[in-house]
Amino acid sequence: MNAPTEAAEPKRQGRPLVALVGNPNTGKSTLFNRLTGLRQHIANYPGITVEKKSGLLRACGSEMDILDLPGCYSLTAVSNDERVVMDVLGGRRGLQKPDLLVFVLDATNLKRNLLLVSQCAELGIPALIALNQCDAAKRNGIRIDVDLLAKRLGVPVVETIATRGNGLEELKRAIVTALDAPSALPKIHWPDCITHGCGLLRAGFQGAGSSDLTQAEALRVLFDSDSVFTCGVSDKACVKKLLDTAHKEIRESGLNPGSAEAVIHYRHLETLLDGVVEATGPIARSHDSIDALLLNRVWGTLIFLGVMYVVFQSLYSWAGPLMDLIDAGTSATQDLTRPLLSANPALQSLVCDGIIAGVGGVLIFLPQILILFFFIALLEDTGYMARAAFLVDKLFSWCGLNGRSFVPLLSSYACAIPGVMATRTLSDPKARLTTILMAPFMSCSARLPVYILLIGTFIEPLYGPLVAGAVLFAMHFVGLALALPLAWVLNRFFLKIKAQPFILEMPDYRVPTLRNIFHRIWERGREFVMRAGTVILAFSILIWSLLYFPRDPEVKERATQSLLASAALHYAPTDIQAALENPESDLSAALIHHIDSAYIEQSYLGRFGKAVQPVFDPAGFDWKITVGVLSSFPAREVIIATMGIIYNLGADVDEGSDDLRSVLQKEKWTSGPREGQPVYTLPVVLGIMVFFALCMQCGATVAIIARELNWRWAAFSFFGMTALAWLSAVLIYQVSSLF
Amino acid sequence: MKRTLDSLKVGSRAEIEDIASDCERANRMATLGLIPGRMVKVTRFAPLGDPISVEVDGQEISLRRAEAHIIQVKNISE
Repeated sequence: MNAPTEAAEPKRQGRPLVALVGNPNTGKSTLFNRLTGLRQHIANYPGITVEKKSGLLRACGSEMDILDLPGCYSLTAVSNDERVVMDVLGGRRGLQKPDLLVFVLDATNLKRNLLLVSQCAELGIPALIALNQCDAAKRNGIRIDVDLLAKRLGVPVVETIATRGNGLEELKRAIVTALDAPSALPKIHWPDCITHGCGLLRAGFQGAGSSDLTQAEALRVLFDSDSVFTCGVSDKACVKKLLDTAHKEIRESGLNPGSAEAVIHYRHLETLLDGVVEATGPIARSHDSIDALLLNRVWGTLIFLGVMYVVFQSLYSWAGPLMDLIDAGTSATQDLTRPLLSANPALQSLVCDGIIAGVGGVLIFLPQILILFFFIALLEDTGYMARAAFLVDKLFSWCGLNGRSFVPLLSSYACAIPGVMATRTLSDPKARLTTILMAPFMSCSARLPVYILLIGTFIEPLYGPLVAGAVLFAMHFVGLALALPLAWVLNRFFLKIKAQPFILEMPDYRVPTLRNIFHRIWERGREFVMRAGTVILAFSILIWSLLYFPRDPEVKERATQSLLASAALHYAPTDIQAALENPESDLSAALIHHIDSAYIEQSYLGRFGKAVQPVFDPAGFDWKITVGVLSSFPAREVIIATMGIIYNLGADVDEGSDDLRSVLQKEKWTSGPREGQPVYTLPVVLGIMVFFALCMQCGATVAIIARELNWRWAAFSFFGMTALAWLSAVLIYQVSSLF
Repeated sequence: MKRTLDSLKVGSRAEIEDIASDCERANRMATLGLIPGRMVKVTRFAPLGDPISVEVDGQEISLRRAEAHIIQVKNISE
């Protein structure tokens, strides 16, 4: 564990650091955006995927760094977000300790918002208060005596309305003044049992040879059984013994150690706020009548389904034209570039099929990401997201997910990339992890072409459109039906993270501001392109090279000779010569397809596919299916084009292509015990579809999971899903072979 | 017998007597205002019966029945 860095505190290097602290839903981030504009920098805190949002603030001729800390209700660190707050405020883990804390408080719920302020008082960092949402408080009939509040707290209080930018200049001036003449919050007077407990812990920690605890840290250890400070101590038994003694003493004084901290703070705050907050008449909360409708058993459910339908449709259908546009842009760029590099075929292929296709492959996700985050920002800012989570929590609670998993999982039906990114809205780390791991199981739109090709080719002609439709419908639930029980198993037996209670604040309904919504969309879009995008690009270049190399010229010669030899059986040599000279002729096209097919067969990936075909043999896959399956690991939608190449039809086939369908129907085993039998029997077809339903054939998803969690989880997800997919395909083939 | 918050009907009010479990969950709930001595009102159940929504100190909070179960209540008016 790092040694405490308190000693270095007053040494101010360069610009002073101001941190924004506050509960969720207080408008803290809006205020941050207002203060910094687009002069923001988003990075990660070292070692964990919590966003560090910092920016530059210019006010009254001075410059300072401003940090937007994650929203939290208290210093009790359960999630990573809350841990970061404690790390920053304590100046731990090499982070710079702020010179000034600006508490952003929701004026409509002052008492609860002040709990965090009261906790932070113990840290002794200079502070000031931004009393936000004053307009809403006034509307709710709450009058706040700001001067009295400032006097009681001992720090300046500025009224703001962040959404409209009111009070910004006053706040900036107050920040500059407070940096020059800092004033700290008065510390709370703790009962003897707690002061004594802290003393016990501090002495005990010193005795155990670990780093010394400050009074503020000792309080965290006392009230927060798995606080960051106990994590670094090797002698857990010793800590537990100390805590048991301290807790026993608290209990003997008639307090419950679990709630004691909040009880004492609230008691203190009630005295502090006496005469400060005055409710003029009965509190008229705007949300009561809206909730009566939106949370109603019947209407609430219907409205929820309607809202989610719109979100899903927008991802599934409305993003389509934009994605087509990006696709067209990619091909146009490829077509423009290809002739420029014709002198060097390898470079040409690298630039066109590797880089440009890769960049296009990154950008193609943007429409869905932007649209999804538009809706998420809208739902969060209006206050509906918490209600939606309330409505559907029961559907997910049994398997370790929670109501907030719904939107990410639903979005994953369109695409897992925005779905995984949307799990940021889950504050419970365990539920978030599980939701991320389950997201790739949802049947995304890239799986649809495979289903349509195989169902249309093999199931519809045999069993009619009704059965075909039913199978297509069922395929969309295969992943979900497996994912939820898997989540249960994972949570029950494997994940060693403590589950958090699912306690939600139902925030007041608010009118969202476009400015805020666009800011969030911009953040997400930029983050995806800059961070996940680079990894996805690297992936696609890697896969390109595996499909391109070694590119032995002999392969081309042999393929040409074999095609010409078979053509010579049917045509006169002069006709062949004439056909070859005309690049538009069928023979020329066939030759190109033949060469492409031979190259893919001879590529590293093709050789690998042939080598591992025995692995897929128990599922009834021949080497062509195996190569198709392997080449679609970077992106499952390429299977159709790969199959087109493998079956000598060229890459331009689609799932509705009659040529491809008839080739597949006619395909027979050419060797082995099944020689002469059709390759695509019903069990094989079902096996391929289930394989695609369960397999993580998407490099972009692997990359985004690595971004959101880490590479270990990404690998776990990748190998786990692949194994599951293989097992299911084998099971289907083997079981149905018994009949 | 002690009554717990999850046993209340929609619309009933009660005073929080104690939070049973030590630390963590208790700490979390107490932070959001569910502390002994305060009045709570059960405002509604979710369509599937769980979680429940309660009003305490002028704010609305949703919690699961399993969590409401550790909150003991008294002076119930149904």
